[in-house]
Amino acid sequence: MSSTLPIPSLDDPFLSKAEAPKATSAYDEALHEGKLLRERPYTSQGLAPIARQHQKHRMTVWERIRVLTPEPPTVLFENWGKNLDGAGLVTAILRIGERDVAMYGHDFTVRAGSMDATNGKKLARLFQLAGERGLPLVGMNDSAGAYVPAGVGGLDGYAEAFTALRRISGVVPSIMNMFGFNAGGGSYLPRQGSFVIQPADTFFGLTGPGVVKSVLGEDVTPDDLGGPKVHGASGVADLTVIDEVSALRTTARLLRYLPSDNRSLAPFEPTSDPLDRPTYELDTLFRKAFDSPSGFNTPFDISFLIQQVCDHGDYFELQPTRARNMVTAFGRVGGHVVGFVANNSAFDSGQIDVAASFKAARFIRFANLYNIPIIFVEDTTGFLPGREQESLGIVHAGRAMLDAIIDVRTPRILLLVRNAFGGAYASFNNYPTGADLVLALPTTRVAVMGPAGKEFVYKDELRKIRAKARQMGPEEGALWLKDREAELNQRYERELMNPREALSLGSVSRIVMPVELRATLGRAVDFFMRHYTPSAFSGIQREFH
Amino acid sequence: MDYYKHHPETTADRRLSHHPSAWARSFACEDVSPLVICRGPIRKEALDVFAEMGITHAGILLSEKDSIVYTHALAPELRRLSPEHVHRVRDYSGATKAEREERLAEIVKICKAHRYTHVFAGYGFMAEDESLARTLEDNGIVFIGPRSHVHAAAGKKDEAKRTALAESVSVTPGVDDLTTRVVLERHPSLGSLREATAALGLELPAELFEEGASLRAAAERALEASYRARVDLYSVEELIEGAKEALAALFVEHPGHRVRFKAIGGGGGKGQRILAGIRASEGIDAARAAAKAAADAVREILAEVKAGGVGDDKNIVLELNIEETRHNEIQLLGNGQWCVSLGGRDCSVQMHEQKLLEVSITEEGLESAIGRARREGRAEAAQTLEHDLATLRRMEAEAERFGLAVGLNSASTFECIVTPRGSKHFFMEVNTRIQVEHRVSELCYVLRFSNPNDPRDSFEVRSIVEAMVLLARHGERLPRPTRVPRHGAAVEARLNATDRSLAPHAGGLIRSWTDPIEHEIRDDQGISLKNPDTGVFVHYRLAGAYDSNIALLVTYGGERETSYLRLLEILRRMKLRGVDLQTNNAFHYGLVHFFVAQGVWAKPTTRFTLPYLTQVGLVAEAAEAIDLDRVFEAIERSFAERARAALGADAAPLIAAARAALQLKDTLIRRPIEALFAEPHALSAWLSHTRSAFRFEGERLVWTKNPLEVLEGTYWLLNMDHRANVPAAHVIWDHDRDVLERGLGFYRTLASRLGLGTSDWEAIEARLASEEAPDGIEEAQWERVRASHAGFQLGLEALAMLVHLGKEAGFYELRVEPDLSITIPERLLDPALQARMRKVLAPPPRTSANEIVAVSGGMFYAREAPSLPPLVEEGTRFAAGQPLYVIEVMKMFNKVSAPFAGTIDEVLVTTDGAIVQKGQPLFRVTPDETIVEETEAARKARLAESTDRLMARVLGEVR
Repeated sequence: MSSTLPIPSLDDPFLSKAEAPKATSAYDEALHEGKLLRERPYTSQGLAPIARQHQKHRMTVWERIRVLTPEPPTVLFENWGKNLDGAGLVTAILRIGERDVAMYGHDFTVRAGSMDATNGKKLARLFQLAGERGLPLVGMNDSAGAYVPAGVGGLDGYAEAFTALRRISGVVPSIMNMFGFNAGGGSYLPRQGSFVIQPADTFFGLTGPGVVKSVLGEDVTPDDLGGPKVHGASGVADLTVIDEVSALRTTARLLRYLPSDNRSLAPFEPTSDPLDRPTYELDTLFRKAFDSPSGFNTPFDISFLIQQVCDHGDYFELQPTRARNMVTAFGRVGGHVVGFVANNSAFDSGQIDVAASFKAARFIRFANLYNIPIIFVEDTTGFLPGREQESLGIVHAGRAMLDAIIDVRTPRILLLVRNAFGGAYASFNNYPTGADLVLALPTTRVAVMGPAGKEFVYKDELRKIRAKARQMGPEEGALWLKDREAELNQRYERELMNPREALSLGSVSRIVMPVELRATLGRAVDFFMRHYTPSAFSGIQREFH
Repeated sequence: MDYYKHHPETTADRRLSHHPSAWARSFACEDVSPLVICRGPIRKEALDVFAEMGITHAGILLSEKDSIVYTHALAPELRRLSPEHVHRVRDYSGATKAEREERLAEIVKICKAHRYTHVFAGYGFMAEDESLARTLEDNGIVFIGPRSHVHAAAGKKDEAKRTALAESVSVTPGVDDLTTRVVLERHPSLGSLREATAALGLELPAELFEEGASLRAAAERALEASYRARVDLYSVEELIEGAKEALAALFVEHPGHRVRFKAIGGGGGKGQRILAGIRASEGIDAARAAAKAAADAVREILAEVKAGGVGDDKNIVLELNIEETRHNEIQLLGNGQWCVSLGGRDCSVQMHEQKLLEVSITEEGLESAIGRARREGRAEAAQTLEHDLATLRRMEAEAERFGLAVGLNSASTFECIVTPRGSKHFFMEVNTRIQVEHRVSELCYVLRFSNPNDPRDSFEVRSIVEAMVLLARHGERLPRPTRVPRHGAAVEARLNATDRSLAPHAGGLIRSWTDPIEHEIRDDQGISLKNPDTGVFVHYRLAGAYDSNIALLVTYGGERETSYLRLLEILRRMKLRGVDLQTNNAFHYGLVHFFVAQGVWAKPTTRFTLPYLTQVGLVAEAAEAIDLDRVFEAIERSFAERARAALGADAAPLIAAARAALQLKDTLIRRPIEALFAEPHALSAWLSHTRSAFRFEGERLVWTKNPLEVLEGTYWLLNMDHRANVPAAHVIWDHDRDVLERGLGFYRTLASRLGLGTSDWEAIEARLASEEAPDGIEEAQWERVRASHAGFQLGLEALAMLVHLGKEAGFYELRVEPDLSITIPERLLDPALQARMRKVLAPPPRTSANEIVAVSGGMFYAREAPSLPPLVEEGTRFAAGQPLYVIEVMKMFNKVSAPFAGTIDEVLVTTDGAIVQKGQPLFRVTPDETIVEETEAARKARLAESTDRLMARVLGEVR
């Protein structure tokens, strides 16, 4: 054999192979065995599966943990599982900043992170611990699904985990990262959590494209079936990000707005931003918008208002890529975490549709359970009417939002910005639904109806005018009628589309000027929070949610 | 160490009131209460310096565009300024002359109401405004900047040129009195001029029009009077006619040259146009025809600098465009009695007249570079540098003369163009303000002010802003300082929101930005100032309402080389992450690698950037045509073929081992190459960086450095070298690092066993080629050594592939010569290629072929000016290249041309000034020809073909 071509090797021939020290006593042997056992979950599968994970541009569970915190995790069960290798699921307590966080993460390098009865139990114990000790939960999902050789055991595992997670829903908040390719139970379980974050190049859903193809004959890519675009648009994913690192950093960022459990307050951060900082910019923005040619019909991006009110302009928007007609965001005002639920006329005129209703309802229920005060910001002409919305079940959706609002027991403030018409006003955190404080900007237009309301308010006058117009002959009459109607429109706006009636009836506490907005809201939040004791939400289970 | 908040070079206790010397204490500035009326990085810098000087009462103007254009753009300054020190205005300067006057009145009002004694305008649009300085002076407020008469004498391009001529400063040929000529054309006699001025109600002394008086002098006085009275002595049309005439004359006089039009109030690339001239063989008719372009140029320029209104000084300077120029400038400081130059800056690396990279040029730096070149036997380089030194000395002397002549009493910059060879220089203009790149100079020299009565009694100033405050407060009392060398060199890179082709890209959101590292001065307007409550990075929306600049990255060092290496390290480590975010970070990285590899004293001209980008585009285009899977398949196949040729049927175990090794090294080699392919500027950086690692023998690539070390360098270059506490996904994977470290360790041991250095790669390789074991290594071990060598080298042919790719794309033809000039291959100057490569680097938004979409985010206008009709309407037939609409991005009005020919079916955006997003449909159209998209199969075939061709070369299979 010619040796001009040696057999390629990746060893260093100059390195003498380190020989394992021989155990000299039974005790040493036990220690040695113990050491091997401890290493087992990290080393048992060798390099190949780790390399494969990396080829997919994915990190291992241990690498992901290190992005969340530099401190080593306290793994709850290192060897649980038949092969003593942790069976593809890590449950641990992490120290993130000043907080203890319960964490689970699939180890895709072991059996593709699949689920069996053992893993179900492991998850259940973690969830139980989190609930009892009040630890927020972070999930890092990267699982191929149920471990098929485990048979029904895998399904039982899922069921046990579902149940345990449901039991701590509303007790501790949870953030679920969707890494890799998760189908079936691997999707339902994380969606039971409070927030789902999905990076690009991942999939989750009921089934993968293969099943879709075999059952329905549909050809679809994983991305089109359950990628971040799909879930970001439906709200199944609350946040979509570019990659795993971004997901984990977003997790840490979001965590700073969340309390550890339903018995405590979200982290308070004393602020250097003066509470009485005048919000001049809002004044300028409103002036620009409302003095423009389209006047009070000019769309206004409500994010500016949230930005101006929050400490240092910093806020965190949830579901930012969908239902933008309803903005839901966490921010801090005077150091207190506040939830904002705001109509946004810059998108779809701010009308409340099915998507916006569910988005708001979900957010409100969360804030309510976790002792977070809510500022409602109203600027909408109402619910979006029409066949499409009815067929999508707007009545159900609107009802869900209304129910969520009525149920709120945390401090709740309503700020009327401009339009607050009809049903939208009635259902959006007014005094009768339980608001603690209703404030109105001078531009507020509370009315039963928009401009069309003149038909009812001036019913008699309109009848007379129309009769007269008919007598005047078709052309002349039509012109005259048009002028009269315009006059009535203006009169309606003058007389009824303003905050006066609402003030006179006690539906609004007081007018607040745009430049005072931060100061007023900040003081109100501070007052209510001084007199609020965090506690678990209790009471009768209502129908629906 | 927090290099953002406390940089040892830029933060200091500057309170002279605490100085041990009583004389120094007399220059304390704590009673100064400044109002900052500009934005940008200088605003934060100024506030920092003021605070360090012990100034407690300082405020800022805050424009709507800074605070409320986009969400998440709350001005970062607000994170630490108390609200009562923030004063809201609509805009810093105002869009029209009337608005500007209104703003001036507002500024005075704010100063009076809030007890501001001084005003600081940074390098904003107002900084060079004579009327600002004058208004403040009239109201007893001190302007921290040159006095109004300095602006008048030095700031206006026409006046400045006259002053320069008087001071025997070298100037370029051209016309600086266009408006005077126009007035004289219209009023060829004193009588006619007198009538015209009287008709406009201008009050002028009668003797001006007396018999025998100078008509030209009268015209000049009449013009001045008309600007004060805000009436027009000439129309824009007349100006255009005059410009055409003057231009045609210049064209005839200087065939083969282009002519630059500059508004007298322009700057920073605004208000300038360059018009093409005629060939030497052509005559006056051709010149007249070419000069017609003056009409558009004049209109556009006046619109850009907002001088088109009634009573605005519309003078435009015409100047011969020196085609291949370098842009040098001298930093000046003066108090009216003395004027000191703080060395120069080379700002030749520009794009679209916007500076990108600025590096110090100082006597000391050049002297040391000359010494080094001499020692290293680079005579040609030494000679060039000596020319440069002579030029610098001349420029500094002229600048100081000029500064004294105009009574400069603050900071200004004397700008010159320098010819690339021969080092002739021409005075261009004076910027009567602090410049963006001022830090480069302050890092090179300290100003030492000494007591005239006791030279040992002195204090030092290390900041130009600080010096400006001192000059504004104590002015003529300040003795002439001496400049004391501080750092041997300093360099600044402008981090801009631009795409890979350096076109502005607004609207991105910064979600995170790595902290500054040692030696990094990051002037970023405060973006990196974390939320003071939570310590979390505050998301920042790049609104782009003013310009595309995000930050200035400044560093310094012993010699220019050190500064460049530090800049490389800063750029390498810096990472901005966000949504729809594009910056020129990678461009700078590639560019600085180019200079570091080929010589930091290389002399790029102002037209270097575009050909360089075009070359990067060619490399990117070549990379796009490579299928990496196929590359590794070819490597494996080639190995198998060689094995079979040598061993026949016995080759099987070798082939299997090779496959296993390649599999184990897959991510190790593939990942960095994928990263290079994903960022053409990183690939450019790599090609420059590895230039010294190989040579070619004919077509054959010979590594002069171990390719495994090249691979290690590639990880370093990509900032993917291992670091603790960095997400694993951002650095080399652990198992890849194991293989790499093991391999490098193996070669280290081997080299020492062979009695060689690891850098003696060719010698090591020669030994390894032999089956015979060298002395001291056993036969069996030698066999294992050779096996390991084969294993570790396997797959690194992919790195050779990159070199071949760069070579074929012509990357190495763009090179620095021994005399430091840069050879730009002719092909890179072809405008058609440049345009095509721009699209390779930044592919235009996808169009569904039946619509025209916005090329960028910005403000949409259907017409060029409010008084003009829309460029296209429903039914308009348009040709490829025809302007369709105007988009305002960062104050530049970009006319956007049709990418193809067609017919407008519907105009989708009907409001002028509407904000549009990149890719938003603007017109529904029917194209003349439908664009054919490449099918997946065709693409695959194309990639296979080009990959195979390249790999045949790489693997030496070229037949």
